Amino acid sequence: MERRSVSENRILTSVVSRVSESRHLLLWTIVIGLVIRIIMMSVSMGYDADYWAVVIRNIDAGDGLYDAEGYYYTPVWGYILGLVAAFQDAILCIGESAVRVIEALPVEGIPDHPYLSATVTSLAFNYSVKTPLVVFDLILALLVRYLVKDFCGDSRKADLSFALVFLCPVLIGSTCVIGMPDTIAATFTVLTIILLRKDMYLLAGAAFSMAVLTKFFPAFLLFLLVAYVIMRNRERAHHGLPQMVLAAAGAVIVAGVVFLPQLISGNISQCFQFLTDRTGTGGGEDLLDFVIGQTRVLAYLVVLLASVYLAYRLYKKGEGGLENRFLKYAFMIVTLCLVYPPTTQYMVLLVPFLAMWIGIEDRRYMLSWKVMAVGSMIYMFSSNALMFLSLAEWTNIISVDTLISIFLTLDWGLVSIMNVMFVVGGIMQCASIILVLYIMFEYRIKAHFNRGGVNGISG
Amino acid sequence: MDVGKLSIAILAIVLCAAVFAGEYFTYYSGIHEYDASVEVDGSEVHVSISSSGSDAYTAVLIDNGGSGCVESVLIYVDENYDEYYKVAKAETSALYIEQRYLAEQIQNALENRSFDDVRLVGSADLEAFLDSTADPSSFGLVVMSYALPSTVYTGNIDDPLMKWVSAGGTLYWIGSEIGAYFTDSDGLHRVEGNQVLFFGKECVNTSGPTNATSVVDNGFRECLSLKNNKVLFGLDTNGIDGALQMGYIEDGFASISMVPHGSGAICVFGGGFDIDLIDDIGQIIAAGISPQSVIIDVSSGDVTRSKTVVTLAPLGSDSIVYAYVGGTYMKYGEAFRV
Repeated sequence: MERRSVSENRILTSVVSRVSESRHLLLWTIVIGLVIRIIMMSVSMGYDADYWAVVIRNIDAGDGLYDAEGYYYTPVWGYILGLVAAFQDAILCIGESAVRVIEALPVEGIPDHPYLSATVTSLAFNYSVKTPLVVFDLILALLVRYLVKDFCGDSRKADLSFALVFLCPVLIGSTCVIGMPDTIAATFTVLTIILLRKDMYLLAGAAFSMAVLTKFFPAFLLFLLVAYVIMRNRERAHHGLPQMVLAAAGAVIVAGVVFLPQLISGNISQCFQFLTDRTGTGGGEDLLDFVIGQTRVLAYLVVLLASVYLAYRLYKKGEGGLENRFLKYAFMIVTLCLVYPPTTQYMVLLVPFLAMWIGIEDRRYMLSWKVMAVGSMIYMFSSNALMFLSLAEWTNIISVDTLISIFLTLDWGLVSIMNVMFVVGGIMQCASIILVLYIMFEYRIKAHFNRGGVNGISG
Repeated sequence: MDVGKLSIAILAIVLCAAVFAGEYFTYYSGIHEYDASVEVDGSEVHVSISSSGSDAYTAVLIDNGGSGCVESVLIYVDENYDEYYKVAKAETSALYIEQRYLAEQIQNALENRSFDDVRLVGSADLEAFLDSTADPSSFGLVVMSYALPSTVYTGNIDDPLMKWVSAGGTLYWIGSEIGAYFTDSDGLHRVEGNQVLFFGKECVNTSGPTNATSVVDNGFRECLSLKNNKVLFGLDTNGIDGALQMGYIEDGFASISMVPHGSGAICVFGGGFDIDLIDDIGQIIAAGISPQSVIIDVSSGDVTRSKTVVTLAPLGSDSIVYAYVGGTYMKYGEAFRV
């Protein structure tokens, strides 16, 4: 009896120790991730931060999101900025949110770089706008941890996935440097998957609606989600139809509430300006713009077809291994829709899927994560000295003149450091996506070439 | 329901609620409030400015030297803009402007500055308007098109538009070389000598710098938080009597130039469609700036969830106080004739 008790105590101690160790690891990851973010929030890519200052000004002036020029997305991120505006009004002492910095004006005239701006937002403004995004970063990482643990019941794997999300430079860059809301879309997307797995269809529909209305990319998952709901409820009455109706109701309710102001004022088309043009200045586009626009439409059409095919495949394959296959297909669709263009903030949606798959299934994808991490860091630092303009203008740490001098010294026309970093970062991010696809289809590619290959290549 | 499932459900509800709360604050709460008022005390004026949040403010005392200021604005919306745009772009590099959209944006910008007398007009109403205003000294006309209809302009000094400006009207021109074209039933027609007609000399930046890197050092940029530094189609007013340049400057071409013409004035904004341009147009018109404008006094600072009172002096015979909240990104403004 006593021997058994000692044995039980040892097991208990071991479990407690493991849990404690795991919690410490989690805690340290959170602390390190937050410290990095607090530091990185002081730097920014001026252009987007400047736009958020315009949006908040428009909200403050009573113009909502679309009455005055400045906001080109669907409303969700705008509403978060509305929350920030209210918080700034009630609590903070922001004063001037941005200034035109005369010494920085030369950067606005650099050919082919319309996104460089001499309007510099204040540090207080930057921190207040980026803080909600950091909160979403943390929630996203915790949700990924929860999902991985739910999948495989392994805390270590879950912690690994958590770290791969929360410490990922793509996420840090998008949230803290660029200040883009892709982390919100990613959070609601992962939340949708969890809610579906927990059979909470109304909320899942609502979360999916939020994800799509933040950034467009999660919309490509629609067909797969429908197939998943049907398959999960195949044995139930009406084969998942009631669950589908619930999810659709959740999505419609959220969309209805989100679009309510625009529906009332009759200008809902403005919410989708990003699909056509972003400046309200169409008509003057050249051939290159046209080709780029059409290529993007074509790329998205291909992804749409792929998503329909994968949904069909999920449906046809039956229930065996449904959960893993669903996650894999979702991972696949998200990867495909980021092939073009591979911009840092867009890739945020890929990060949780990559981290989950590394944690649950296949560590080979770590290589892709590493390439993506380095590529995104190069990409996000491409505007080099200009990233520190807020620090220079609003503190005495460094002078604006010095930063501009450094930036212009590194600008040699077409082969400027900025262009080189921009291209190298973009290529690396593209390479990380190709790596993901290669690892996904490695066995098929090898099998194909072993059989004789395309056009008779190889033996 | 297990604890994990409940936590996820609560999280989903809280996150959705946060977005809805933001929607409420964006559209329905009415928590963002601003106000300004003036009180004249002898040769001084006390300006009260209030904000529900924490904002930069500026109050500026301007003397217009007896020229008065624009109190009513018409914005011309060219219905045939797209028809000949490519020709105008090829010949004169005119910048594309979505006519009605920019007109509505300018109207909105003016309304945010408590300037409510704004109308959008097409070519038929434009002709009627120019004919009907015997004394146009308090009227402004905004043109964002590369061409005007032949009923009001053909490139002659006797055209209704030229007579209207000479009689005291203020013409604001945006996005193209001023007076370069007119249209009639035969199509688009190029006007020769258009710059001389308007300014007495060739002074429009048609192929020079597009961005300015210096500022016009007369205080208007700071006092009105002018932001647009584009100078394509801007003016080099060197040698033009009574002209006023504001904002940013490159090779003599300014982002904003006001030139007297007869009893009226012509104001040319450099560049094309831009948020900064919309704000600058709002500031220049709402503040009542004329070529004769001189800054007398200015006061600026921060106002945080309270009201602040500043004193400006000395008042002249044709003074305007322009007070605004928000600084670079102006949220509210109002002009007072004192």
